Amino acid sequence: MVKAEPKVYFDVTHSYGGFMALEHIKFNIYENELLCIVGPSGSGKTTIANIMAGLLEPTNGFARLGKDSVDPRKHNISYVFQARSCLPWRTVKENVRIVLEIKGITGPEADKRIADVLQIVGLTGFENYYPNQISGGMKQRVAIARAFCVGSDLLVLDEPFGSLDAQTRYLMQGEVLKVWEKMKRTVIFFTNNIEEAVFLADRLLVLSSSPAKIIKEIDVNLLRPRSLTDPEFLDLRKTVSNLSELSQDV
Amino acid sequence: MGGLAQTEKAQRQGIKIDIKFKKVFYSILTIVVFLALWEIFARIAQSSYIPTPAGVMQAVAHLVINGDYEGYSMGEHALASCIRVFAGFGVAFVMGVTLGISMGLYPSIYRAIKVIIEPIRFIPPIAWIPIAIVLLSGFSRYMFIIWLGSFFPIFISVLSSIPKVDPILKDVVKSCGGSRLATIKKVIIPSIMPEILAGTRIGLGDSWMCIVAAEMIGGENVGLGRLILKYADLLMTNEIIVGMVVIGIIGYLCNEAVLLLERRLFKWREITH
Repeated sequence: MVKAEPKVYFDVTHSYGGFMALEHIKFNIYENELLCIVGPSGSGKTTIANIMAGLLEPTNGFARLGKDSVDPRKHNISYVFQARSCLPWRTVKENVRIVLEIKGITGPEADKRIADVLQIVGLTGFENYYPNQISGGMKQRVAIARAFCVGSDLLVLDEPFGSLDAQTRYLMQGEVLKVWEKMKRTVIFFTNNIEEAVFLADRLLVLSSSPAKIIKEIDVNLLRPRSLTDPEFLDLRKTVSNLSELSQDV
Repeated sequence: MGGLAQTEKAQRQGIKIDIKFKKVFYSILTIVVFLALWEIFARIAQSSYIPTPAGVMQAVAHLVINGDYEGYSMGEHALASCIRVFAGFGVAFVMGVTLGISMGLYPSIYRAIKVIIEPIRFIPPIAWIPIAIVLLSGFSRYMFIIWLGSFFPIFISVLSSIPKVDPILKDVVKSCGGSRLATIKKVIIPSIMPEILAGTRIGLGDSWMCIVAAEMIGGENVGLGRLILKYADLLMTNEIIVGMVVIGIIGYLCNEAVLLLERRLFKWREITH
């Protein structure tokens, strides 16, 4: 793979008070690359995600997009949160619209984008439902629709499928890949699930438990679409499992 | 099949009507029992100062038809009080919400002035009457006393709701480049709407509780509180009860109106599948 200049530069050591959360985490992301960071729960993935999205100021180091420090006011960042991020008083449609409102996109243009993106994530027909009327998986799809409704310099997904059952999770991984292939974005995807990471990633970073350090960087050169039962896939999954302190979930 | 579904529907409707009928029936029963006990008590007491159901009904008729002894009609009394309550409450609402939100967002301000605000909360509005007489005059006296009664419930409920706003929802706006103002408008205010309305309901109720105190010092001879005070001077308790009941009913209707608004605004909380 011919690699141009990286798009994202990340080099951070972060602590909360006296608690060291990230210990010299350093990596780059290239244009249109899907980078996965896999690590155990509580290893500081959300901290990296928040710094990456410009929501949290690192105590030491920097997160840069091109030449500038990451700033959501300046860059187009899309963030899919780990927890439920739907506004309960807005319908599905209006939950996607909030992003467009902030970016100043209104009228028929906004309506069209919402319809398109809801179609992609398979929520057509549920436009006027409130979040408490739909399932957890659908809510997470709303969050993903939000992330894809505007062009973005960087898409951050923080364990977006963590709360889903295995089947929905598998379906959603496929969805994200489809959308990513169709719309080509620079993506950083956080997960504690090794299979998910190997299935999705162009490149993956294995994180240690707290304080987080990068144990290994792996280029995933498996052809897409990938099969979960392909011997090469299983090999790589095993390698990552042995590397990390994660328990391997089958 | 269709017939079966229909009978089921009719049955369900029947049950609904049944429940409604029961509710009305028990309400009427409660009123009848209450009036009977009151009548018995009045007869045993045998004092012309004790109001009786019949006496109150007569007072209602008299006050509605002829107005009070100075010629003010019931409508004028009720309207005067409503205007005063809504004026005082209106100011309390605007101040309670704006100050509640701003101090909720900047808790350091509140922490600094808490030492004065917190004790003031516990001073009953009626205790302010002498000060209000000295410092204020006319309409502002009504407004001040009623404001005292309704400001704090609104202010405190708004203030304490701000830290409870889900940080993820704030980050949704922040992460796509929204300003602080956008966060306030799109996340914070909708999030605390239930608390704003709960505070409003309590504040509005409390402002009706202050109406008699306010009208003690307002100076004009019109208003429901004034009506009570006028007839108190004459020891005519039946007329006093009329004033009390009207205040109770208007206060109750205000409360119901806010509840209705709550149900309208928070439909999203109720519909679940």
